[in-house]
Amino acid sequence: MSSMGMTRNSMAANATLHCLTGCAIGEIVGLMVGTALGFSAAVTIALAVGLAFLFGYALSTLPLLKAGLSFFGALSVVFAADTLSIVVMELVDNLVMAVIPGAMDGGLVNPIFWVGMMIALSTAFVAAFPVNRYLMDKGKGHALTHQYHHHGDHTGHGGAQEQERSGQPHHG
Amino acid sequence: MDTKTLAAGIVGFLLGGLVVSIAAEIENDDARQPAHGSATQLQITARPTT
Repeated sequence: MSSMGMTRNSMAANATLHCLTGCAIGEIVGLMVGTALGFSAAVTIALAVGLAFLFGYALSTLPLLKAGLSFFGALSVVFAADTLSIVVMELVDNLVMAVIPGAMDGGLVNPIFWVGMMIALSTAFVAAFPVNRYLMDKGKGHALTHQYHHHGDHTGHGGAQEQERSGQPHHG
Repeated sequence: MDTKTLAAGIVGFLLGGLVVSIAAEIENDDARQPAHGSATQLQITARPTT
């Protein structure tokens, strides 16, 4: 594989990890609250998905706000960059949790819940990676947010897509 | 905060939850079963001596 391909893979992996981190926080909190309070599987999944989107967007919005963008400007960039990735992650994550027997209704003291969560999040990463790679190749997805980050924060970033867009005006 | 630090925190949290839940499961199993041997009680009958 060429070094450019490896760099893009590594960028896509970083983007997927970044997305997954926000999703995972919301997902774990949602599933824990729903399971602890004895909600039905459907309500628990709805809560987890809602919180995953909230945390996923929040985690991407904060660095853009620090970079000087307005709140709605940052939000519009993040919506465009993260939505597809989060949707894929949430679909896979909740599907895996739903099909693992006992993962949703065993309670927090059931080891299957925690093992299921690990399997679901790992599968979501694997599923979302090609999506982020594809979006990055098209100059979309996390490629949209890279131009707002400080270069020192993201070593290894700055491939052909970023060089191409260096002359473009900022979004928002 | 760095993404990798957050991701490591999530992994640690999940592992912690797994360890605690396994400990709780073992505790429950101990409470359900007697400390030694099987759960069925032995029936001992004394045969009268002639």
